[in-house]
Amino acid sequence: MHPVHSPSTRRAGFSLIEVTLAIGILGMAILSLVGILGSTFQQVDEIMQTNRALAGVTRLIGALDNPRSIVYLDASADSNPANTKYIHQGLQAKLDPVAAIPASNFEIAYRLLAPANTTNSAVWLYVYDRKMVIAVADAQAGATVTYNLYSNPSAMEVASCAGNSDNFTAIAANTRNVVGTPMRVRLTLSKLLVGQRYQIDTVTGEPSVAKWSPGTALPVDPNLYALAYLPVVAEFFPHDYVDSTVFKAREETPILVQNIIISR
Amino acid sequence: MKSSLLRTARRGFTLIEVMVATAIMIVIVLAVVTIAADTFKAYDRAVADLTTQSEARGALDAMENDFQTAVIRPDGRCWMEVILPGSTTPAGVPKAVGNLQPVDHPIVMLFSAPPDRPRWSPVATTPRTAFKGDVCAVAYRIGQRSPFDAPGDPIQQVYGVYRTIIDPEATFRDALPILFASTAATPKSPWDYWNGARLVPNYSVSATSGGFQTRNLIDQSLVQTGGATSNYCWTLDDQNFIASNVVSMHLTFWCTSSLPASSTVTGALVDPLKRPAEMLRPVVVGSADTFKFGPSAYGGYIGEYVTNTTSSSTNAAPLRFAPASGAPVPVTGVSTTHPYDTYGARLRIYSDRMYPDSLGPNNAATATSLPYMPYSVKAVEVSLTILTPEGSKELRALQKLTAAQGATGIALPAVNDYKRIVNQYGRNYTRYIKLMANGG
Repeated sequence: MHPVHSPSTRRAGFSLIEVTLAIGILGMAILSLVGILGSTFQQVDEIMQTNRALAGVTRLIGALDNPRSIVYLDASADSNPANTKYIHQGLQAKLDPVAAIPASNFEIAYRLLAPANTTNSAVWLYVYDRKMVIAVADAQAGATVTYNLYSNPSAMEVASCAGNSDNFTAIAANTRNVVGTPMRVRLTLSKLLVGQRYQIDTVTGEPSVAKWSPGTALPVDPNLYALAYLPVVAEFFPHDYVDSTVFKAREETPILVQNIIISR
Repeated sequence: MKSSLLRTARRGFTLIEVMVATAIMIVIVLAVVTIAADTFKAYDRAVADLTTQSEARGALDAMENDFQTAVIRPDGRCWMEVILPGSTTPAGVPKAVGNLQPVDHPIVMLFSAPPDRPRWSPVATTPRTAFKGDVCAVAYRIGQRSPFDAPGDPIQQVYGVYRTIIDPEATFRDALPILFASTAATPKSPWDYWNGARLVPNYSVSATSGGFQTRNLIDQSLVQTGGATSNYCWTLDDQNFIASNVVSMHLTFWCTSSLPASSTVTGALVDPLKRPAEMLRPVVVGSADTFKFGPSAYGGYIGEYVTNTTSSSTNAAPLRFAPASGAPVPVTGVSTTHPYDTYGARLRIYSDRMYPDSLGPNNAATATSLPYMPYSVKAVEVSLTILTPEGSKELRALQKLTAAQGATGIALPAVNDYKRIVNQYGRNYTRYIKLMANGG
């Protein structure tokens, strides 16, 4: 007796199309899950960058209070890490013009930032973490990598690249031993100035009646600026090493915006 | 009959069908595996970032608060001090911890008003007795132990930041009188308080003992050798643990100088770096294995370690703040360090000056030197290196292995393994903190 299988009780196999479809759907499901994970990691990155920017704010405030600690990197800084100056040396004619009478810290900060009355004339600075200790292999070309260090501390640095068209290049970052993503900071005058009598009348020595409105230029001479403080807005962007002509034209959302008050 | 059976029987896959299906499957599986591997890598990175950052934030937030509220009175007394472990002077400084170099884990002592200071007496009374005052003696140091057990199994021993806050009454009763007794002949500093057995409120001891204990504040002994009430190190007590896997803590003090960049008056003291007085200059605490800053041609700083300095090298040039000739020691090259801003294993910080001592290779006190730096500290920059969980795991496994191989005491992995792990897994976190009390 041969077993008789009726067509109704026999289980049909999966066709190739069915199997392929099933695998395809499974693949899509896994890929979409992975996609969600990807956006999570992107958020983690953003959190890290925001935190870095928050740490940078304190450093930037310190640097604007003591602008002589802002490093000035011109084009030659790319090739020679030692060839760096401070901003009052790099922009001496603008910031600290009289050698015999060194400008006060506020005067330097004022001369740097007062012209930033519009987005187009914004001052760009860079804030980054920098390894203070360089491994032998980093410091000397051709040296073999030896872990000669027990630790690797870093310091935050604020730099102006005004001498290099506001470009902080990847090579400069390398020669400065930058750790992580540098922050690009756009500084403009704050709206806190709106309605303030900002100018000293040279005849009376008192503040003149003119009030500041967005876009108004501040007096060039810090002594003719009437207020005891200079409010600026700092907008932090992660620096992606594109050319300044590109990033200045971009509509970007800053990862952090901070009002900074620089006191006389 | 037979032919109908054949018609209804299930037809198998052909070889080509199976091969095509397998190929498609392989392609999809490979793609998924690749993406999954990348995902896991990204996941590991995210975990490492978030974990190290949360540890760093714990320690840096505390330090930010303490340095911002630091008390530095302009009364000619030393209100802040940094000592490197392993220093030969002053007496009683503990040895370096584990694989760490002295320069990587300074002992920092200051006075400040932490919001999380002990507020209540540990003595059980109704109502509770509040501690009066707000100025507390605060110390930071790095220790290596299990956060749960002292010193604990090698697999649990982690490097961690320990922050000790002495309650304001004990600070007023025990610490400040020591500081106020300072004279020119016998100067006193925070170390004179911390290097002693003091009464501290211990909220974890039983009410029958009154909640107070006499403990050595800073010393070597982690373990109770004399029973439950024995006097062992309080600063490395588990109650003071605030961040784990911290393998280095570097402090850079940013200071102004009261000396002019130049002077036409003969014999006048000038700043050897020839910088304007209000320009900030870094001061770091170094040791024989020195961590140095060196200015480049125009004042940009580079830093390096110098392990062997000789008296003939620029590195070992005498540390004279105000050299007789008035000329700074020349800086000859990129990797040459400048001696002036590098100081020894101990730094005592006053409102308007700093006293470095035990200067190591740079020490050459001469009659022409100022015995102190006329620097006023305005800000401190703290840099922490923190191991990722993976790095910590590897280090602890090596500790366990070393212990299993018969090491006694705290098991230390080989130095090169340790260095590699720090280089590979160390993450840096830096914060710049202004000292409000001193015009920062």
